[in-house]
Amino acid sequence: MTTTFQQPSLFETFCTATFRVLLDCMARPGTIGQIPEPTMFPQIPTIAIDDQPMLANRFALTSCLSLLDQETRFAQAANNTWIDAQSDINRWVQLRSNCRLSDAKNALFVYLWDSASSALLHELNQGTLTFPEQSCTAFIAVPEINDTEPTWRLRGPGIDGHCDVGVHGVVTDFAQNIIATRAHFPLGIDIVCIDTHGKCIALPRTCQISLN
Amino acid sequence: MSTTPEQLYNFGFIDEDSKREVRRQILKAIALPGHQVPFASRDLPIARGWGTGGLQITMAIIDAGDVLKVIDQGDDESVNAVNLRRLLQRTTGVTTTVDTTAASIIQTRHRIPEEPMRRDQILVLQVPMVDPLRWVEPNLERATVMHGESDYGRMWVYMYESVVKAGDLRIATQYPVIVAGRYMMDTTPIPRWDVMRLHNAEALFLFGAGREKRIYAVPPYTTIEPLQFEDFRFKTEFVAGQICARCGAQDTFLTSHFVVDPTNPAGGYWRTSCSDTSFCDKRVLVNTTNQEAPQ
Ligand SMILES: [Zn+2]
Repeated sequence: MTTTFQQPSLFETFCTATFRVLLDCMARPGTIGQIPEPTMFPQIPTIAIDDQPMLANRFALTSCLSLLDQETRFAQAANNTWIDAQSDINRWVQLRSNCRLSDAKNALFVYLWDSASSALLHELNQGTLTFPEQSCTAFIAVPEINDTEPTWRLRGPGIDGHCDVGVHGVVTDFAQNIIATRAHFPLGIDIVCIDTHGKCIALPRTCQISLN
Repeated sequence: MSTTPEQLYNFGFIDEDSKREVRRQILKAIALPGHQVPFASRDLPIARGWGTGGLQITMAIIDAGDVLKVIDQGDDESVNAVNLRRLLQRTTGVTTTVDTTAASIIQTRHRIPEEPMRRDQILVLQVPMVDPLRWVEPNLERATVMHGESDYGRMWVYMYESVVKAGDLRIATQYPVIVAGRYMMDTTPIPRWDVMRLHNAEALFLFGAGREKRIYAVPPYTTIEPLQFEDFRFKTEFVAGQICARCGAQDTFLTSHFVVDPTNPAGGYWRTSCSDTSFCDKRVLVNTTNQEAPQ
């Protein structure tokens, strides 16, 4: 058989592999996936929080970036504050994805640098009854995800009964902030949490969360 | 094999932005089980109606390590299945198989394979007509609003009138279901035999319609309830005593083929066998091996 395709670039390979992790996690909420190492972006700009540099979670930011292009509006927040569109980090994302930078209300994708920024989830677009798919998807960086010390019990489509998962090092209101995004199904925000090692869980709006 | 240089396609044929578009809509479709998500369907080198919706899903999700199976009406060797498999194989280099248990992605029209699918497998279904409400509301935009409001009363009335007037004939091939207690979804073109195999399954099901530019999904462990009535219950095509003429299976979905008699142009007969040809072949092989084994 003649080979008639180009070998994909590092970034394309990352996007496809990452998508399959996101696909599996979204289809099976609470299942922990592993985002591949984003080797094509060795240096991501830091941001300053109270004059201290803050590092991006490279797995979380680049998985969000893997779904962006000129059709998508993007915003990001850290320390419970939306980051200015003119900032280095927003320009960095825009240059690599061609996305449009947006305010929170119109964003299709957001990246939240920390769990404290989950207090902003209520500002995001939840879609409409006719077009619930036009809602925002939020990628949130968290310190640690594991299945050995469960903190949440998840139920809903994709889960055989229930699934227990541990999300650690997050602000007290984190679960409540997420739960509030799914009070009006089919409207809602679909959420992906990724920890510092690239461990990933997805919480589509169908997923009900109760605290252990 | 041709020696002329050929155009180099992108991996998976469609460009990266097209993949991203399909990927974003697949994630939304999973988060909204049974809801039809519009997507910007691309032109492909096959006619619409021959699987362009399913094909774009497969092209958007496929990775170099996948093992691909393509079937049409349950058959790996039908012309359509062969063409789609060849296009995907040539533009990705992935391994292909006819064995359901060996595949990571199965693209299909009409059938869900007889062998149960696992959690590490994805079934991509090509669908010709997506909206179950087309019978009562031909305008797609108005039907979309009805889905948004769970406005399914007219559809229930229509279904009831169909079964009362025509037994269960009218709903034999157009069987609507309610997914996860919320959205009404058409299961066309899969037979009723396969409808309940979508219910609380281990595998992920992705549906693509190229002409109507819609993607929808049934995640694993998601409830599927066929529309049915106290006096007209949902039934599959199963007939007591049915049997496959090739492998002897008594619990598969069967199709009939006309077998020509080579010695008599006016002769020949109809033979009924498993629609899932790969499954049937496996069983025939096992039966033959068992017969040949020393007693
Ligand atoms: Zn058979």
